[in-house]
Amino acid sequence: MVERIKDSQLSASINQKLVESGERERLKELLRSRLIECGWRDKLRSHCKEVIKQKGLENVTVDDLVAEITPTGRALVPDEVKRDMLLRIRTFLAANT
Amino acid sequence: MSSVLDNGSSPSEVDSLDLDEDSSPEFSIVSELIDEAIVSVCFDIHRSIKRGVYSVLEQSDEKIMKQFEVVECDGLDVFGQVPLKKQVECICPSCQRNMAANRFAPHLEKCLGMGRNSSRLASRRLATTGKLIDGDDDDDNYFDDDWTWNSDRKPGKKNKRDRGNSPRRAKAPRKNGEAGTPRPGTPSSVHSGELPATRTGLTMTAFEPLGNEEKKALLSQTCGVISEHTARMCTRSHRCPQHSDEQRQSVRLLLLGYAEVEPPVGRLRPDGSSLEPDDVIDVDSYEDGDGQALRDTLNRLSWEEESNVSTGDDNSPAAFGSVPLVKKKRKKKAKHKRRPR
Amino acid sequence: MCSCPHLKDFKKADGLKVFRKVHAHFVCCGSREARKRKASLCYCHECGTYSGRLHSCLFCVYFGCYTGNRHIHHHAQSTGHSLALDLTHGVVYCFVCRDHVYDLDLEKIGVEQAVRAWKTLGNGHIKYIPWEPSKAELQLLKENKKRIKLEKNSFIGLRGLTNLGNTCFMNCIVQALTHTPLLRDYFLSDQHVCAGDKEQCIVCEVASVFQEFYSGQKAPHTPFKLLHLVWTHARHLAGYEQQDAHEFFIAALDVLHQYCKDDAPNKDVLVPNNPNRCNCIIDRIFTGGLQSDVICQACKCVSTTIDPFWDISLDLGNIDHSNGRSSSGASAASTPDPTPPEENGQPVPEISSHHEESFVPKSLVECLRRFTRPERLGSEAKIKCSQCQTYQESTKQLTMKKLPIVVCFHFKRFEHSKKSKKISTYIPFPQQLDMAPFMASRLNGNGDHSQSSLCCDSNYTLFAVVNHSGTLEVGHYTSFIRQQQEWFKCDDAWITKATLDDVLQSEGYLLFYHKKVLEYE
Repeated sequence: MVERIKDSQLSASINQKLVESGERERLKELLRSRLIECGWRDKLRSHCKEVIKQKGLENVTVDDLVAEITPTGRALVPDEVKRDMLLRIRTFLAANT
Repeated sequence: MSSVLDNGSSPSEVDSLDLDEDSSPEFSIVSELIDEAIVSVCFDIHRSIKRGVYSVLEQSDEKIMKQFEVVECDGLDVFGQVPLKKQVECICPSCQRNMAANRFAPHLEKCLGMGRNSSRLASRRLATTGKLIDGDDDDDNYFDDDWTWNSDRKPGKKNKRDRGNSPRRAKAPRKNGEAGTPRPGTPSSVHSGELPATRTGLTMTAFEPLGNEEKKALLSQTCGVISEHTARMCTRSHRCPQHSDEQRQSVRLLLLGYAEVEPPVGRLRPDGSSLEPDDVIDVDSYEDGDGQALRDTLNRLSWEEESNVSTGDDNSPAAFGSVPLVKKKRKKKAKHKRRPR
Repeated sequence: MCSCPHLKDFKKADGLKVFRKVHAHFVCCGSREARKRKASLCYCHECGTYSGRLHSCLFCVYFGCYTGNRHIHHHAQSTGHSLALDLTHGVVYCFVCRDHVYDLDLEKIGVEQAVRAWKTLGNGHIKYIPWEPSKAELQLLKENKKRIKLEKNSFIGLRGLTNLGNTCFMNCIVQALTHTPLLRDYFLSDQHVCAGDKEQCIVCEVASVFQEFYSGQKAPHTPFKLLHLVWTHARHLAGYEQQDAHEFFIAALDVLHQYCKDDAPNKDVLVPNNPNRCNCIIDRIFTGGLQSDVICQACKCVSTTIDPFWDISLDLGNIDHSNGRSSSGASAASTPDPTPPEENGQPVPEISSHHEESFVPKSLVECLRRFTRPERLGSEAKIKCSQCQTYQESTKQLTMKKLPIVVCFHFKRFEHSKKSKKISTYIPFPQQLDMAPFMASRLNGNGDHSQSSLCCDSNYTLFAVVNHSGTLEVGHYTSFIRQQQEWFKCDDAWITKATLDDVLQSEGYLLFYHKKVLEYE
């Protein structure tokens, strides 16, 4: 339990550094383009379309969509992309401590 | 914009990191970023619904898209079509004349009055001759691949053209089951019998076994000059504008031993076109014969002749068939020829 | 357009000002101070989390988590403050309507501030803002219901090309160009503005060829107008006899470059980036910078020049001129070599070592390695060194200074030294190519390796291959093109599906690679 709190504090402080430096925005943008590039976004969009078909165009909310596609969305991110992001964060931290 | 780029599966340079085990704070940041990206996708879509863009852009009509599905079937292209038989026509933007599309490039070159053609043509002719002497018989596909069959040559249209350059325009039938590389996925059955045998001249392989009288009869009816590209004899009348009297004489000199060109008396149809000898002889069945050597010699002969006519080369008729001379010429020309690079 | 009455009321009550302020401070920070504040203040006022899709109440600037403990919901319920702003995505949520609301005025502010924030971060490129139809465009789209899309497994985008009489050299290049993603986007989005006579404009004609390709029509396209315009604009190309596809490619780029210079947007911004000092679509896609370092062997002084390039021509190994042999064993069947053919299919072993320059490349990467290695210029080619002012022997090395978005590799298959011949050696080429090893920064030793390994900037994917079959004098060109992750073979009018293996096993004459990751400029 203590470990976990420590961890969440740690990631909060990392997050703070990333926001402060603007690095978080850069990472976000990079992830966005890499996910488009690998077809992730297209796959997710077509999944959304399925959800919309079920729920009806008028009734669907952002929360509905998020709830429906989050598991798929997480699973579909290529490991290569995750590793790249991880490495970038670590490189950033190493250079900024 | 970049969504058109493909998914790469190249091995990562950082794959030493084990993701499954990772519960580090850095990794939780990555997860957060990913979740954010997921939410972004949802916002984009939700927004496009609310703005009315979604119903217009995204709801793809599957029925419509169905008709554009790629066809994967032997003998058909991705559109589900068999090879096009119909000759496409186009109008020359320069002179507004209408013509078969596969004749457009040679026409345009002349029409624009440009091109490095004459010297290149000459050098290629010599180079090609040299190649055939080397006994490389793999090259039939050239004749098949690059040249398309022009089925509707009307004598009336053609008469207007400059006869000097015309021999090289003779086209080989495209892909009618001849030797050479067949198109992958295109069984020959699709092609067989498609192209009209009429107007197709004899190859030397087909001509050779004929009796002397038959040969004479044939040559008394037709022009007979052997085409550069198809290795076939011209089936038009003696007044064929594509070939010159000199060429007709030369071919007779070679094939019959004398060069008397008989006038086409009584052989004309009411419309003035020549009688087609092809009605009598099925040319296609002879195509895969092995008279390569003879054919080569004849090819060479006809090229030498044509260069006489079209490029004003100083090849004397005495040089016909003279291999060493041809080789020498080729070397000389090869230096000027830098294309294709 | 905004359907939420609560947001309307909020806007009336000077809400835009509030929105702008909250957005600038906590969504898209325009300054370092703002970022600092955001970093230290963006926590849920209740549970202290920084994640959980933090929202800010637009009435009292209370921060609460949206997911998890749902503190922002509780806040709205208890206070009656019905609007909150998503601090990550900049979208307003209405607790009464129970939906997110998109308002044009708010969005305009949001985009402005996002772009500004991106700039202050010192990012070289402009933040990507997705296209969406304007009101008028939306109306047009509504009125014209029938539309086709580039989808996987559809043949839209594929089109056969009629052979106009030996014009396969042009057809294969047209296929490669029409399937160059950025070029397609450019032409299909009507970005060419024609200043002159449309009938005579080759760029307009290319645009119409793109329209033809993506029209969904099945019958082959007959590119006679294109040929006419190419020949009238590039007179040195005119002539109907056997043409070289590579030569045509370069000439086509040149002509297009000449004629679409004027379309180039914000001419001043990008030019310094581009070795060709031009910002037209052709240069933006195809122009790279080749660095040439000449090193004086006496004083080691380096003189560097950078030249633009549209393609990279690669040697396929030296022919051993003493016996006129091609140095590799792959199909020698179609070489027009006057000497008797080699023992069939027998690989001729490496050329003996006393030929200093002889080599047989075994892959594209090896060709590139050779292309970028230092080369001794020799005693006959002494160059006056700018530093020691004497004529000295020197070495020369070529490296990539700037990588183009599309890089075209040209295998020098047509030999013109003592004997003209075609080299039909099979040179394997990869689907994915990393150009990092051939970069000037890498090869000159001043690049930070750990950094560059992270940078995916130099990764390329194959998207088109032009092949030549036949001999030097006579032959036929075909191409493989990639569309929606699928490969297709284009043989003039005849388009068929192909596999990646078909492509990678083909001989290869021109190879077209596309950058995998694009930066938005």
